[in-house]
Amino acid sequence: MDRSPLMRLENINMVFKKPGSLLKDRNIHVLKDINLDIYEGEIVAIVGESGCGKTTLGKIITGLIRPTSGNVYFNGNKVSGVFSKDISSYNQVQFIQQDSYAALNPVRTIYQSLYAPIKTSNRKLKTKEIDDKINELMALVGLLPAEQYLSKYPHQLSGGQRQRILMARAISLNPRLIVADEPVSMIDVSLRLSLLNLMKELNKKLNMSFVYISHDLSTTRYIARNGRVCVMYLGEIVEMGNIGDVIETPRHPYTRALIQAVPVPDPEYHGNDDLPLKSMQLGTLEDRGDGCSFIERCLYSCDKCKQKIEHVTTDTAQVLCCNLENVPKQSVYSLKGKKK
Amino acid sequence: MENKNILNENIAEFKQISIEYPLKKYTIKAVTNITLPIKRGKITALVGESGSGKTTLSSSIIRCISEPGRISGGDIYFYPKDGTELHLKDLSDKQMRKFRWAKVSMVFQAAQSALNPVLTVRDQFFETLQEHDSPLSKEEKEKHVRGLLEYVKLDAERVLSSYPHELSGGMKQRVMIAFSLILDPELIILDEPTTALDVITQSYIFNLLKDINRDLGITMLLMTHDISVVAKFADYIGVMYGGRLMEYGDVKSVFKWRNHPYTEGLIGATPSIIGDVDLVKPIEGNPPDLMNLPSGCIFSPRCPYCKDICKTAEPDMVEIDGGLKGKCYFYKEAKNG
Repeated sequence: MDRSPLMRLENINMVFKKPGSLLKDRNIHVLKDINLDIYEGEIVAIVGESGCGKTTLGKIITGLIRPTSGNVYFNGNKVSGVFSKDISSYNQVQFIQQDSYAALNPVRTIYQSLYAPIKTSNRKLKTKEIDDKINELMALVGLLPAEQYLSKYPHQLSGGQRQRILMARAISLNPRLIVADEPVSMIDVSLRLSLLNLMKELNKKLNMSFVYISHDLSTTRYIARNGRVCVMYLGEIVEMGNIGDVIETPRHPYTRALIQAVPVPDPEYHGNDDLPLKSMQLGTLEDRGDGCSFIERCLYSCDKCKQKIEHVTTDTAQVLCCNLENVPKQSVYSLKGKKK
Repeated sequence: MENKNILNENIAEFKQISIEYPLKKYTIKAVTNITLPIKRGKITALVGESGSGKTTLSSSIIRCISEPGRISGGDIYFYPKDGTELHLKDLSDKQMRKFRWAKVSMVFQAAQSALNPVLTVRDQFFETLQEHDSPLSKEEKEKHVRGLLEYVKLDAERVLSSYPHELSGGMKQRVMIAFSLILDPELIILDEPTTALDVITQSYIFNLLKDINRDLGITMLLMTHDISVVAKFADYIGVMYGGRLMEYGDVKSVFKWRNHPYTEGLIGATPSIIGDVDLVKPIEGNPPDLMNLPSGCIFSPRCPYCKDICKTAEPDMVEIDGGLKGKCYFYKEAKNG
């Protein structure tokens, strides 16, 4: 890819300090050497189990927190988060939170919640212009007639409607990148798809880039379709590649386990129930060394795993594993048994 | 073994049960006229979106409906191993207290908040044993509890002296599962046991539950919104919508025929990790408002096959070959066409 990325993350590390013993703080290494490029109009999915640092990464991308070390470039310029002076360029990156109820101010009407960011970003705008803009946004996210919703408070709307409001608020400043953190995990199954469709539509119509953070590979596959997926494990990207390829032929031992764990909505499909993992216990984030963080759970670990490991580029993906030749190459489905 | 032949094939049965929540101005009907068998030794799953009444329905077995809910009609029968028949409505509160957990236990949705934060796991286990007049001596109790924790693959030594906040989400859920087994119940109710957990932990938990079902022969009633879990785990499925049972049958036939429009929509709206992504499509419209239900079939406003008759009167449950039951005027035709 020759295009220059919209957003570039370079060697991002995030360490949280936690009070430990009397003299020494404990270092919680949440993100470790993350490198990620996000291009214009692309959907990048970040998947991983809870505690793998996906939300922290999302917050770094949106500039809500500053990484301990490493650089963030937006549009070629180095940025240092929303608390710096270059905040105005940063409203081109927006965040959609997981809990739509907590993300909206409960004592403000929907109209007030949508009005404030537009007004703040451009003080010269007249109320009439902002109203037009809000109506346009409401139509875009499929909440019609708009008047019916604008005077309401967040608690009067359903979860799906609130999530649409969040989406309207996120796109109100014409961002170029939206980070959506588990946007549908709290939404009913029958409404999930329409929200995902809405995001896909915005991606296509307005050429917005999306970073979709989730633990659910099925919805991820649906939204990212031809996009890229980053599989995270304990703060590292262990596998990155086209989502179709990664799901079809996962290479990292962790990705293999993750994909096999996803239930298939078809009772005729009998899979191998035993996951290819040594233990169920997640490794520790504290005071990490150079070695592979997956080593305790990996079936294919070897002596090399204790040393510093690098990403390996295979024909389908970039994989963080030193012992790839020993990991089976066939797809997980054939292991799971074929459908009748 | 002889006894087994006399035993009812169902372990419990809901008989035309209705549950409502009387509020100041109006009454919400959370569950309307549901008849549902729970097959002995099998896993029955109740699927439905939030507000479909699945938690209300299942917690009525152990009389744990949250206030101010009450059973307004119908009864629940329970057929324990000894061949008797219990009418749960007639039990006094004291009898219910003994019945609960000894015969039917429950694994709650949020394991985090189901455990008492100021008691160690050991104290909570012992408290329950004591409350139910366990004849075991202290050493035997300790042994029993350790055995259970090891059965769910936990390090008993560490877990027993821990407080809930010292355990991870998956561990707490496994403690809850061990906890539900403590009095050797015949039926376990699982209310969204893996909602807050990631897929790998979820897979472990379900494998564990399946082992419990197979090895100990304990019947399970699972509530979930995730139809993929049902496909993988359950034997029978009940699909709930707006407080009504829309379809019931064995999992394979229900998935194969997709006779009921709502079931069809629900399966069709679930993205899968295999298969064609383009075939997935959402169900149009919004879930029903329980205070303002549509007339006729409550699914009619969202149903792609809605006819005039659907808007006037609510259809009855129709049974077809193979034990499938569905609440739809065109349920029989659907199978042929």
